[in-house]
Amino acid sequence: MKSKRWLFDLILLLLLAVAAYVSSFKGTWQFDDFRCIVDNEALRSGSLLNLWRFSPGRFLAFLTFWLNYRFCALDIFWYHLVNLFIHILNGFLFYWFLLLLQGAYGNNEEKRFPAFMCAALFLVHPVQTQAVTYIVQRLELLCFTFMIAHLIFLLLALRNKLFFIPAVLVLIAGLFCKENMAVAPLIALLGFFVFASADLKPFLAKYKKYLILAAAAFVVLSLLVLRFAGVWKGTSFDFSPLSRLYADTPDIFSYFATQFKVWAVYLRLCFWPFGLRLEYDVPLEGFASPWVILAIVFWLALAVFAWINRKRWPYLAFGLGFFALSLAPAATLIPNGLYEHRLYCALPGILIAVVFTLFPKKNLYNAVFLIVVILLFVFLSFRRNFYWSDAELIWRDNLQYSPENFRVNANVGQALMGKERYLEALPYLKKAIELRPQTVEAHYNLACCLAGMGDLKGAREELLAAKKLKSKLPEVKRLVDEALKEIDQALGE
Amino acid sequence: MLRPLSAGAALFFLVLIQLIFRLQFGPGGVLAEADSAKFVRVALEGGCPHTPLFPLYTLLLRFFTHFKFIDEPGANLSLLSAILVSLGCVFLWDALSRRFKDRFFTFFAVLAMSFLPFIVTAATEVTPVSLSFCLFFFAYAVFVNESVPLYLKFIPCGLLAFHDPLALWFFALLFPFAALYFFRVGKCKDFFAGTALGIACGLLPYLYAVASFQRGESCEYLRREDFWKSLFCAVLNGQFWSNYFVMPPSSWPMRLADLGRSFLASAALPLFAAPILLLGLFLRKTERFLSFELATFFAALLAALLFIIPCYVFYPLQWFWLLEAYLAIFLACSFLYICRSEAMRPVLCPLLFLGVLVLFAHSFKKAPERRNSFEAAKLAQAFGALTHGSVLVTGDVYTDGEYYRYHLAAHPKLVAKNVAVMDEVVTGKRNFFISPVVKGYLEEQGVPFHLVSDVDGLAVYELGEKTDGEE
Repeated sequence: MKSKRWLFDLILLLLLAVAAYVSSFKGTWQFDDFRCIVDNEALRSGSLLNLWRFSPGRFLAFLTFWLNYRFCALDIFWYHLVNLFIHILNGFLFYWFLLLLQGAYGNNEEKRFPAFMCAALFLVHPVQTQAVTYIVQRLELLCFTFMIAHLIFLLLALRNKLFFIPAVLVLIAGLFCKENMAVAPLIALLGFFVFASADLKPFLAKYKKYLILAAAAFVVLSLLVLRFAGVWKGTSFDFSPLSRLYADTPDIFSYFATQFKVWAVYLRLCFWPFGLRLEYDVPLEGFASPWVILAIVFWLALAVFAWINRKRWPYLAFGLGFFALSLAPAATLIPNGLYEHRLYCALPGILIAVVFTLFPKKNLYNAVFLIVVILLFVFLSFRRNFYWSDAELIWRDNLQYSPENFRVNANVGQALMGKERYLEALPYLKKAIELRPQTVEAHYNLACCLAGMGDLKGAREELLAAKKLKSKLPEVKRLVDEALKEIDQALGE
Repeated sequence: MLRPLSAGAALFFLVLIQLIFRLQFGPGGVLAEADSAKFVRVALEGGCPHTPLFPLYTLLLRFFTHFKFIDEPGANLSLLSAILVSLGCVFLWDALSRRFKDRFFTFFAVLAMSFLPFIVTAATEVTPVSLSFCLFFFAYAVFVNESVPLYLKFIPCGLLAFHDPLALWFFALLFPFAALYFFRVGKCKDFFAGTALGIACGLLPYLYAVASFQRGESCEYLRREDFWKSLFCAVLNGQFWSNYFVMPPSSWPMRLADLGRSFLASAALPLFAAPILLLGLFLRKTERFLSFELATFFAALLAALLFIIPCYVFYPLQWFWLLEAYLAIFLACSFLYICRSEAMRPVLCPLLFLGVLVLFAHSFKKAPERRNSFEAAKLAQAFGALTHGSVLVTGDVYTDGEYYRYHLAAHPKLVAKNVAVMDEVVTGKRNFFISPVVKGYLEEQGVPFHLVSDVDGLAVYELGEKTDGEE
């Protein structure tokens, strides 16, 4: 009977996830998918060595793409299916983790309720659509898989020390999916600290070995941070094009200051997942900015509240810590934009904090409220996934929120060009140049559009303008040169 | 949380306040009161009102735009004020009747208070709403209802403290007393955790508003260092004339006089109320104290009268709501006082009922007069009927001088800019009424403007130099 209840919960979670993501199969390749999968020579070559060279730090995650490619080439359905499978698996693991955290094994009704609700909300939350439906974000999904597996094995290790071995193994495996994994031991430490002991000395004595492991992981994280910051150039890590968003970053302090505001937006997305988009306009601001100061005070106040009440509401302290630590690698010093998929690993923290603090008991009010929220989220996720079916649709949707954003305009134009609607694409591409006249790619795109319209002279002018500008990426320069040659030939003929 | 009888009272106050609300409207659905148009614009289009931005209120307004009870959007939004005031009255009635155990007199006390928000009910304005709704709700949550969990009391406190500088003063005074109280009862940690929670909750609207809709040209001034000065002044002065200090003063004595007047007039009531409530908090278990508490409140109100009456006499445009507010509070407290004092009832009762009747009659008599005297009504005559969805703004340029200076510097080619509404998108007109005070200010600043029309002695100006075509 007990096992049946457990199974029933899993089936229900599965159905909810499928209901929310059945529309994701219409999704097409987007944005980084092309660079990492569709146009990735390392995948096409079939050589694992090439794959390693392409991205040693995320080899394991890319291995799944490699396998996808081996078995079904570029049939996107299977890529979506794998993503959804991993997402559902993550939901199951999260559910199990929460049961273990409460010291229950699925037979306690009172403990099952918040765990199930958290897992259900995690699976159907609309903000997760970017991580699940945007194929290349499988990296986030796998990172969370290993992160939560690591935490589960550590909880099991409290009963049997042998579980430390798989805990370390999944930690290493996770580090080869995404660098964020390095914070997993810190989350575990936080958990031990909040739940296991309030007195630091016996705690340190008891978990001495584990602390050494965590410290090692922290060193790895620090090295990765340095690598991202360009200080340590030991590997030839390929910067994601996303980082180009912050090409104008005046200094790292402004970037760091802005992140307090960015975190507030992330928090808003957890509670109010409306107006989802690919690009969020969060202008860079220094520490003197009123909003940055307000945001810092806000986070400090929240931390103080959680810390003082850590014994009374341990899940609140743990959940907020989980959220902060999970977001830290992507939203502190490492130059990256604000993207919804970064919330994938952090959202469970907020869910734990909210559900276990505000709705811990199984009663009519709690159940009705949470079920209504879950069903609403299923609907919102289902609807949101449709936007991923077409590049034009998703970028045009973004345009209404950010009409003055360079990347949004450039991508709307590119999406229209992809459909050979050059005339429609023209104003967006021109607007992109207007917003960032020094960007080579923008001029190149406009040249492509003009060439598509038959205006070869205009295209040549744009390419010449692009040639005068400096690009950080050598391949862009090569593309401009090649295109210029082609145009010159065509004009000569 | 409210008892059944409160629901009846809620209905009563809602109807009464709606009646007042309806009577307040100017002709043609024109909304014109202080910073109303600014808030309407922010609610409908996003952007920033003046410091300190009032994100909680603008969030409420934005939410309320989804409900269309009245066609005219500005009027529709000002309906929110009426609803909030009704709620405030209900909360107050519920709180007082629990405390004083005398429903009859507490009902009349609240009835008197319902006349306080004469302007509150008709304008999309933040200060009256803060005064009537927020502080009452605060009093209800903190001082009366024992069944409310401790942390839940800190949430409205935080929201209110960061919502309006006027309320911030109140909390600033309260803080050390409250800290001492919690220390005495051994709940020091809870107090600090609750304070942290209150701060976090209070700042949430700022973070949300800035991330979602408070952006655009009208918010550019936030990036300037003057923002801090104006915020400081906003807190110091209790919101009013928040930008005064960043403007070049005419003379130091004038500047200090203005500061003193605005500080005393706007912050006087809550400042006087705060120590009384603090004492109440410490001695809440002592029934005997209640009379003393009220008597002290009376003394405070009488002292406040010294400041309020001159303000009312000399600055009717700026402070015209203060006297009524004062009278309403005075009456309400008197009712509460006679709840405790059997001996005073025969003397005070007839006087108080007469006072309520006078206030009631005064309110209704004044309504059409006020409505017609609003500058918007005259402007509407001057410019003809306004199109649907339009909002006229009638000044308060004085407080927004900083905006104007900024816009003029940022957009030198701009012929005119209605600084109160900050753009001409809403009005569709670039005409701009200025009062003699504002005219003097603009002349002093060297801001170009010229006369457009003169209707009934009310001069209408346009900002910028007169063009050749107009010659």
